[in-house]
Amino acid sequence: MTSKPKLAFYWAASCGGCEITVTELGMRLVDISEKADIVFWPAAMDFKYEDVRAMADNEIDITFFNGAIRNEENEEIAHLMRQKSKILIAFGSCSHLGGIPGLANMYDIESLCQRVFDTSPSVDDTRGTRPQTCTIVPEGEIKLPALYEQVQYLADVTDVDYFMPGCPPVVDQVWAVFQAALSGNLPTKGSVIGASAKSVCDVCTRKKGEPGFRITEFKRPHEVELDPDLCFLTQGVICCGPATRAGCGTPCLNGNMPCRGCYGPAEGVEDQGAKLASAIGALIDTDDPEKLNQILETIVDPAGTFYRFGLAHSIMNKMKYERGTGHETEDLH
Amino acid sequence: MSHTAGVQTFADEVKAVPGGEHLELCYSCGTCVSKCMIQQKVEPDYNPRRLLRMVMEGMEEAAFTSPTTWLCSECDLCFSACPQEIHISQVIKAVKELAVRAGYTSPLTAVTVNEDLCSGCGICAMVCPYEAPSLYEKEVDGVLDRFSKVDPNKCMGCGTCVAACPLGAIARVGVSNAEITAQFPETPKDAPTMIVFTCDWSLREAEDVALLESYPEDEVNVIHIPCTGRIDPQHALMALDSGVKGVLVCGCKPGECHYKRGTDVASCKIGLLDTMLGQMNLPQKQIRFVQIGTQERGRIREEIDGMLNTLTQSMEAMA
Amino acid sequence: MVDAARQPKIDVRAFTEVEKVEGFVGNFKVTLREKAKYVRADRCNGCGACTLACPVEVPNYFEMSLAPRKAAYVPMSQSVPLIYSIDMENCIQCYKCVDACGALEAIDFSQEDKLVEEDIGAIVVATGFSHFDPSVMEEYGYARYPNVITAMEMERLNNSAGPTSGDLIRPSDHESPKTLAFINCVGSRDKRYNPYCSNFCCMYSIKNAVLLKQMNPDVDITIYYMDIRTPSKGYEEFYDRAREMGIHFSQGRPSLITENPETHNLYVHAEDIALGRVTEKEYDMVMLNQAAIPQPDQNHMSSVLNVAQSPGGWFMEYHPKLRPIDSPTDGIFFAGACLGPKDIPSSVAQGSAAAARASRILHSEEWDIEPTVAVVWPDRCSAETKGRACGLCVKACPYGAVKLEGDKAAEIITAKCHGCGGCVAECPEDAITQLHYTDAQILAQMRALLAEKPEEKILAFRCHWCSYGGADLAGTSHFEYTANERGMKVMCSARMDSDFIYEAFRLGAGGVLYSGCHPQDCHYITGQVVGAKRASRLKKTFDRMGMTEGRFRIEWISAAEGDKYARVLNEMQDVLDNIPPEELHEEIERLKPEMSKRLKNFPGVPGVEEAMVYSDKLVKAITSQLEAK
Repeated sequence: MTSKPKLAFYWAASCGGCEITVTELGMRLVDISEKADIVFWPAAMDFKYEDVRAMADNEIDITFFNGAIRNEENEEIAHLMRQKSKILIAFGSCSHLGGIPGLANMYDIESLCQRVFDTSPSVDDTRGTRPQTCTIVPEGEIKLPALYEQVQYLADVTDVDYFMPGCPPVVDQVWAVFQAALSGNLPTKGSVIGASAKSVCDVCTRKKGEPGFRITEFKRPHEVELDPDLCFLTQGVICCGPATRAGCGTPCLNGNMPCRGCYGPAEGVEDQGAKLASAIGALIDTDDPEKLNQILETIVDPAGTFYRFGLAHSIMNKMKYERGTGHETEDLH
Repeated sequence: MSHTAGVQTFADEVKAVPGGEHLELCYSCGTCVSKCMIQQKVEPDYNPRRLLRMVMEGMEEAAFTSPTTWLCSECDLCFSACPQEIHISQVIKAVKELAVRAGYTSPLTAVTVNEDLCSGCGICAMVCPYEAPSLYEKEVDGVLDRFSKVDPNKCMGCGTCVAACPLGAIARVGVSNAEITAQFPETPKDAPTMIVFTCDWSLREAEDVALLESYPEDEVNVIHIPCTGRIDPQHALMALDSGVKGVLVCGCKPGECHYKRGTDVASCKIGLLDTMLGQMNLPQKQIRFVQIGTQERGRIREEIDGMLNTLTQSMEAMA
Repeated sequence: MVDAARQPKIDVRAFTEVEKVEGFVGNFKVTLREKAKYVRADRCNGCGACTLACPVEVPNYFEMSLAPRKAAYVPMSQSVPLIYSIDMENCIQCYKCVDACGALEAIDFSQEDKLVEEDIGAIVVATGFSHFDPSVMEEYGYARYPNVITAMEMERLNNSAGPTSGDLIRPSDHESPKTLAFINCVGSRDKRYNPYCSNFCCMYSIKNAVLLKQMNPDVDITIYYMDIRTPSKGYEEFYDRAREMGIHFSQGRPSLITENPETHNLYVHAEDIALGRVTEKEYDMVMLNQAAIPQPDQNHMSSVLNVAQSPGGWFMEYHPKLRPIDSPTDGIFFAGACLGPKDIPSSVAQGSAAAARASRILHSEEWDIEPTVAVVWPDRCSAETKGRACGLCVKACPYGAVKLEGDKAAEIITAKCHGCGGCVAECPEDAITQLHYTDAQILAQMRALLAEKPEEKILAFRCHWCSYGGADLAGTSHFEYTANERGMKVMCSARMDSDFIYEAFRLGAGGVLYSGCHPQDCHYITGQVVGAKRASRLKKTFDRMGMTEGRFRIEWISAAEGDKYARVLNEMQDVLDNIPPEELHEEIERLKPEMSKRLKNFPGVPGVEEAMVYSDKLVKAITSQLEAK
């Protein structure tokens, strides 16, 4: 029996949506298992870390790693998978850019813990219990991985070969990548795969704004009856499409919802959020500072809107954590 | 053209354009010429008063080739100052439209679109103060695709579209993304290095412009942009990321922008950036936007010295 | 002033306001408010001891607030009569002035304003002008930049009796300025503020420059101007002298002044028109030659005196060329800048002229008025017939010439009536007539004019003062207009009775023009307003009837607009030409009953029936004559 290529899947700090996408391949998974061996997939099959540690370096051909790096365990396994894999693919927005978990970088750990363990409406605990990295019980010592001060993305902690964006990546793109990978047709290292180069607007068929169009008030999608034929921006609804990489097949637009930006920055975009602020800010119409503030207030949570999936990957994030210019803060925003 | 009204003169054609009606009220006081900054900053032969005279005298050829026809950016500083309430920019625009119809072209360098990068989002067309870009469709590899194209006779070169284009598909000599980031300075650790992005119109006085160059290079690094509409929050962040301690953006007072709305655009963008920096709990005073009025001689010195002071203080506090 | 005060037949009432003017030429009753001075005029000898004693200092209006004055004060040292007064708004009632006044006992804190009624034969209004406040022109920075001053402030700074004893200093540092810029036309010849030329500022700035240069030969003065206007005798020579003295004149209106925040020196941005180049010159001080504007209470005075105002708010003369001193109200005359910006020689000339005009009245036993006055038929007035006065005549009269009391029929005070005819046309009972313009007379004219082929005719009602003049000018200028026009003259558009218009259309007129003065130009103050309201009501009625647009036309045409008169008539002719004759005929016939319905009371007006019979005969004669030909 000639050895088939070995595949591995891992989820770090993520919701599991990327795993579901893989299962959504359905019968095509059978094709894959005919052509390759899946040697590690904690979400679906009973492998242990010990099994991976027992493998030789580079024994796994391709690892699809989803989820952000939020704690010690995430990072430890990232290093492990790197060591054991020929090709490491950051799979999905969280491992690509930090994803939704990356939004936590707006807050410090203590305020996050306060929210989760003290003030959240579903919590009833007056003792101020916090998870401990080490607890002594009669049976011995129980350990939990320590949380990191910031959420990182995979390439922050280890060398990554390819980036496959999406929250989650769409099934057809996943299938295409499998095929390319199994046939050895992947592009040069460091490329974004399973996506296009241009932005979502390139494939969006909605009617664009007329010259001179200006926004005087922003609305959230639920506040307005959206015309399915018009550019969302012309309806005063923020759409991340202009700066977001295409390749998703526009399921959101098809569902009459604006682009949320999950495929990350398109080619030519240095910083997705800043670029969106540059593009959308230029559409605002006012020369009155007071009115400007009123309009800006209608953008609820600009950082969370423009950096929804890429805050951990942003320049602001770099400034805050790497260059240490951030302030300490006690309370949640 | 009306056939009943007899011979339509050049002046009649211009007067028929909204805003041009009061053309003949001009008594050549020269207010428009000195209120405008183009003659002093760019073109010694720029003179709206003379252009109006050329129109009245039927000097079509001279009017079509006059730099005044092509360089007016419709900022309307002159309109609010004109004692005869002549909408001068609209008169000039009418002359320009007639010139374009007669086959003359703008001497200005317009922005160009790189179709390999353009995704046809139309943001350039929406943000342009002059409606110079527009979208058109053409077939690429059998598929109908949308691209932006720019009317070179309408483009005044403010760069608002360059900054707003999400994909860096629009550029003009001197204001492309690469050309701006290439000007980011070396940043010595112990110097309160700041970048001043300045539009060339907000500093009316020659002495204020000269002041910018008088600071040591490792303290105040000046990057000239045509208009603060060209400011890209990405650049401000990239500058800070590269070790620059502060970014001062210097534009015109609202209502006095040379390119109609660039300064408003900049305050929107910097307002957004400021909110996002706050959300990230980053110090907001590192980026500051000042809008300098035509009468605020010497204010730029206050602003730069103020920021240098703040930066030095916070550096000392950190040390 | 001193001479005037010494003349026994001149009574100077200082610190006194005109509160009410009633009556008419030769018989005015004027109520005056003599304001409390808190100093007894019969005892004050003008020694000034009270001022010396007074501890309160407030800004001195006369010194343009460049110096203080006391609460016990005279406005200026040359005041006539030289009687002090206490400024009660600022007085702290320490009574030091009372002590200082001592045995004279002139100071009297119990004084109150006194209302005095006087019999007056004629009134001369010489209320002068005020100054434009240049602080609204942000570009010049007045009130923000300390060294930008107004011409009036310069006047005080440069006056040996002024706050600096004539030393020219600049406000920021009290140094003597070496370079000065004067800017002309500040707030004048500027459609944003005052469109008119302020008349005297050119000479005034040259005068200031010459005076300054004489006192301080080393100062450098530049006058920025658009045009230098020197239209009177000797003015151009004075301008030459200023140039010869080395005063610089720079043509080009400055657009902006900026200030060096440290030195407070000023930079004037202007185009040097001769060079076609923008200049930015540095000056130690800038003087703004601000516009002359009407007095702030000019509107109030206009209603007290019942005189009209020109555009911009100045008082309006009866006729700009032929009666430039008279107001529209007999017995009230104007002198000086209350009519519009005027320099000293013109003001003096006007003052003398006004005095002469007024003395004609004072020396007359009788006074001639226009014969076209209104007269009431008391037996037709509703006050008498129904015991209920409608009051429309009172509302229509611009002069308050209609007296209406209780259930007594309205009465016209003939001396006050100017003969516009507004009340005549407004009266719903046809109870008023106008001499020489009776309904019967006008009707007879109309019938004659529309005797032949009325459907081809355009009957043009013109007011005597404007649109009639416009028609006249069209004729003398040989402006061609339709020969189908038939002109009718009444004194004012207010006289153009609805009945006349209905009757014209009932007679089958093709078109009717309702023309008069532009609203600001009305010879009868507000007569045009009365006429215009009626005209627009008529227009609505005709629209509802379905009359072709353009057959009835309302136009305001001045005596200078002959071209407009011709154009309007030609346009009306175009309207008629564009209706096929049978359609026009059908429309005229269809509307005739509508017109008749509205004219049912008309034949009852005294004289109208006779006029109809007479004019019918006349028309028959005319037509048979034509047929015979």
